[in-house]
Amino acid sequence: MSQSVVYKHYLRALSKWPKDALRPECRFEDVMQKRIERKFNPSKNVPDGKPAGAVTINEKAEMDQVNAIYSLINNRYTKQYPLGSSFMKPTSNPTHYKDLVRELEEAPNRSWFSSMLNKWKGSLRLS
Amino acid sequence: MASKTCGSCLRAIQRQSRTIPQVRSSNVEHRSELTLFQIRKATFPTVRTFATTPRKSIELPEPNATVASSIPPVTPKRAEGGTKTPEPLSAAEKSAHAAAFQNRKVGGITETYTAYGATELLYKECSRQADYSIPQAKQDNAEVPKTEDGEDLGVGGGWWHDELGLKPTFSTWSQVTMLHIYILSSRFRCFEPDVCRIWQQHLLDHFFYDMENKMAVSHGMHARGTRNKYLKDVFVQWRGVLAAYDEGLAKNDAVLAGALWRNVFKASEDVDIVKLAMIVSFMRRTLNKLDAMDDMMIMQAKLEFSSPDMEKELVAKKSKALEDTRPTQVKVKQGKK
Repeated sequence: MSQSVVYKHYLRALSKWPKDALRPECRFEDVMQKRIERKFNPSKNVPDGKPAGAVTINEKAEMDQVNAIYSLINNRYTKQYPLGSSFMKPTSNPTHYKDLVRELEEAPNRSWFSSMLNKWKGSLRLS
Repeated sequence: MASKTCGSCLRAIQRQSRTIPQVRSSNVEHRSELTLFQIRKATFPTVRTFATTPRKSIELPEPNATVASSIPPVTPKRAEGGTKTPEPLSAAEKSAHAAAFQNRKVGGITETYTAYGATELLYKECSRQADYSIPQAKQDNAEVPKTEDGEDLGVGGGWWHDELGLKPTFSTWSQVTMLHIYILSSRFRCFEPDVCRIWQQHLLDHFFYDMENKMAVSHGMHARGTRNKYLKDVFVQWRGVLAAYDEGLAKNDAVLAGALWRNVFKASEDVDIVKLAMIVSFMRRTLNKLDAMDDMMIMQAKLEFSSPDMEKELVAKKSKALEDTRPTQVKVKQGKK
């Protein structure tokens, strides 16, 4: 069943899922990969030689799942319901989202010392 | 937390109780005590009578108490003698009130009182989405059913339990409520800085008071230490939720879906991705609608959340990528990464 269209779509869709550097132990694409291997290639994952039960794959349901993955990677909902600058540059802190994204990108690459320094700097509020 | 009296109130009570004269049998001593009291009264002209109970005698709700909110109501019933019932407001009075509210000056000293009442209503709207109850908590010596992970299992309805298939437990309720509080909180971020801080803080406070109430009444946690431990855990979860959903909004739908998957679905392998996409769509649509709303409309707290069920059609729309049947160049990842 590994040649099925749905399986191929799954692989393609999951390969396009954005990589998360901050949470390497809990990745959506990895867990979904395990799931589709379990469903589409059950014989591969049976180590003790039990006869693999015929897992009936509901093609339509799986197609819906893949369709949902594609809709997420193609940003369908952001395009349908855009958030303007009144929201993304909020009055109380216009650089909130920019600062957050920068912080999340820098965090995995910090050494222990510089992350401690950052923590102490953050606990001092001068305003 | 809700059951602590502040230090200055306690000092005021202790000072006041020291001025109350001790009644003694001897007349002479009684007279001198009275004089002393009069002197003290002169030096402390503003002795106030407090109705606050001292810290030690605050009672928690009984195990069989109803699951009432521990938050005192914003408009308490007037304790009047007789059978006078307050007359309902006429339509003209109601519209006058609404107009007065509309034209009020935002910010200032009284903002916190307005915010407290309005956020209570908004919070109630957030918490009713995945609300649940534990009927065994009211019965004596009844065994509460547990989930596989050892959590107390309750009963509850709504889209999140019935269609999404989440179990009616405390953690489900807290995650779904946090999602809705996040939506409101990020809209509050668009207020002025000092106003925003007040509204966000009150909304969060209502959530934590209600959580502690649920823990004490429905889950039998009468020890303050146990409740505090779980409240601290949920606070850490809330900060994580804030950062993760903000990252999702700032980046793209897939990142937001990942955040929802980790938090609401606890990174489960058997997540229904269609429903996950529906929740992403629901979040974005709600935020889009809230963004378009006037600040004053939100401060009047006349809001109701819709259900992610409405996103079914948008999610079911066939993606163009499905028509692309070129052979894929992707290699299957071998083994666990």
